[in-house]
Amino acid sequence: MSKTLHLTAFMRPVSLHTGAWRYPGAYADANFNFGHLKSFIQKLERAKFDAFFMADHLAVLNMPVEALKRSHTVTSFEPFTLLSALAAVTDKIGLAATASTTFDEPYHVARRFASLDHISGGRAAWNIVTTSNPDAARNFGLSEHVEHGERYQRAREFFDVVTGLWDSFADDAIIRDQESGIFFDPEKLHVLDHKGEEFSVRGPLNIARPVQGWPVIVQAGQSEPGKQLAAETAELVFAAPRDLATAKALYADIKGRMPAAGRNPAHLKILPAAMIVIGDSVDEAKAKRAHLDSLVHYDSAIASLSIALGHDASGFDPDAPLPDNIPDTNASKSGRAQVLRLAEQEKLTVRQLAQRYGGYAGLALIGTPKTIADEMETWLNEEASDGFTCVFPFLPQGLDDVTEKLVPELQRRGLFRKDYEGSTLREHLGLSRPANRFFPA
Amino acid sequence: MDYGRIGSCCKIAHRCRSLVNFTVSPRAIEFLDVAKKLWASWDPRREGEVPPDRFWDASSARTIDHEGQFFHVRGPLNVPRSPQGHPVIAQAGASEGGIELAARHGEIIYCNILSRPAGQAFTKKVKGKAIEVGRDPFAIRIVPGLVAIIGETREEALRKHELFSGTGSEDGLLARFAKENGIDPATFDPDAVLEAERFVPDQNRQWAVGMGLGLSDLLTHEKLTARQAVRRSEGHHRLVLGTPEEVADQIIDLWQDGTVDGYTLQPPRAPDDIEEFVEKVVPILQDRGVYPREYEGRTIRDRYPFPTRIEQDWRDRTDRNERCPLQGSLPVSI
Repeated sequence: MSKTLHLTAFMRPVSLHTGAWRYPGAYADANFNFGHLKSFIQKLERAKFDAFFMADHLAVLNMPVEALKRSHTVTSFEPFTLLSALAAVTDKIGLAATASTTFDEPYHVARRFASLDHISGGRAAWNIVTTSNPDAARNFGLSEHVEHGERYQRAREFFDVVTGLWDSFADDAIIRDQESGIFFDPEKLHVLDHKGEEFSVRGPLNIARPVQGWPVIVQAGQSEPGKQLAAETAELVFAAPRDLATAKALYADIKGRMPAAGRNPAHLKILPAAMIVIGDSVDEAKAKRAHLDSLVHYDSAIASLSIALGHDASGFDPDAPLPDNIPDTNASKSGRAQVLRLAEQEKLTVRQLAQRYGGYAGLALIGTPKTIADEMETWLNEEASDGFTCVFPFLPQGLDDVTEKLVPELQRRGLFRKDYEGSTLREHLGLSRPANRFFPA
Repeated sequence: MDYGRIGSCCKIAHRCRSLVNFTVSPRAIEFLDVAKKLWASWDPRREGEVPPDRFWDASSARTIDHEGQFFHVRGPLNVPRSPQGHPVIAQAGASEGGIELAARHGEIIYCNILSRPAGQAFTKKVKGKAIEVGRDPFAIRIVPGLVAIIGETREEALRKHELFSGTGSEDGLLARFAKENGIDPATFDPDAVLEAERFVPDQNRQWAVGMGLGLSDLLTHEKLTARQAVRRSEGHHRLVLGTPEEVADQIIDLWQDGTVDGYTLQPPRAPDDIEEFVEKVVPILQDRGVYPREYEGRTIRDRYPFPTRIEQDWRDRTDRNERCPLQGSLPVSI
């Protein structure tokens, strides 16, 4: 069987591009309007997307107020309330929510995801994050942020407790025998009784085993401990490498760690996040992107460029090329080299470069449905990815372009499903249902 | 997102009760203090037109910088003020700590009230405490649980009660009563008047104190035999039995004089008893003008017209209609 793509939609925020809400024709409130979000997910489901993905933050974004005041993502829905509501207006599309292992409790997390999985008929996915926003700590009674390595150690144990709780009931535990009056078989209930370094959790969970056994496990998987955690636990990774070569390296790296962790590399799908900008011609698509970038305010743009360069860029002439001889600093040498390369390749002025960094500096696929389908096919065939996490440049048009122009092109090539074959997210992704560790079949 | 139909129910976890009986309540009260500060961390005037070049006015959200005994929270919330300001706060738990929480933060109070005198005493306690802490008692609605069992005749409703309870007969109900209350079946006389003191729950027990108080309060105020008492409550909540008219009468009875502000319906079986109540009892309540025919307003807060400021001392107002501006309606929340 030839390989096919998996596509998910990055929907919190609805666009990662900070200029998105100002684009002509865009819904300025797309990120925080339930009616719009409902129409987006229904369009994605008609296009047979694998999943709708909600990132999350446990604080207002950690950025200077001058940049924050221009951000359409300053207010976003809480993932579980939103996805529960969206589960009721969809039938097939997966629903991925983020929950933090640093600021939440395993019992709460296990329960919410089990509940969402039952409500949605087996469409839930848990994006495991360890939360890097230092302002979140201050909303949870901590004055300082939890150290990186410690967060991952906690995350690993958190995962074990959550999956153990999901396995509390055997799949056939709930018998509901109206004649005998026995609702469930107590022999098929396991009390976890977890006592570890970080957590003491008695269990059992008060929710039947999820429809999917376990909701699908998602990870960003970019840092060193993140890649290891992904290799050990994740079934879907949305890391965003900047080009084909780095993507191939990351793909080989994460999948290469899996056998040592006792896992089959086929049981993990890597779907890099990519902004997709579609035009009738490549030039038109590039012009759309340039216009989108131009909507990023210079004050916030120049701050982002300064961070990328590790040098204050506010004194540079905005309409000239990047000056030579920018002093070297210790901060982020590779990031700086990347900025210089981009400026050189695309002949960008300081303003354009700043707006690129202040807008969205990640992987972008820009072109016609045909050229983008070509690129996606290359990534798939060269083992750079198993599909993509689509980032929309602006809404609704950017999303409509993907669902109405790109998806049909991919379907024509046999690269993407024309209809859902199963009803759970695991079935969409071709992932097997995990066995219950306490009640083997 | 759903236009403000949310009620937020705050309960103190039972498991904590035995360990930290004196500290749980302050934690719950501070918890609600923080939640309300977070809900208020956005300027309500932000609603409305968005200026063309900015999505959000940075000056409209404030950190809350809460530094309390139990919580340290910086804020602001990353969700703006909701359509109803903040969700309606529902509270349950009639222990001393529960009443303190109800008085300070509760808006809809779920409780078990089995009789008029017991209900009036409970209401006075909660609202009196609310005045002590500077709250407007009109901002509090007492909505006890209500189990309605409806029959074509009262006899049919009695048989249904026996069936739904799983006891099968009146003797079965009495046997269950004796067992639940630790009465020796050999000496149990179902037709003897019960002594209230015998049924006062232990304040230090782990299970909810308020639930057990319902029966002892009922027996304090009314002389009842076990045979009568078993028909007065089910699952610790007030039981109303009979034809749809009789059920409606009993519902209106405690509401009319202000003993309760409404009820929380607890149907024995779903969906049958929900449908039966909606089809047979609700129309009677509507015909009698005590229950709305249409939703008034969009939010749950609109349905409980809480005052926004203290207008006058509630004790001055004796007239029910003035005291509780429900426009003759009876909120039955399911």
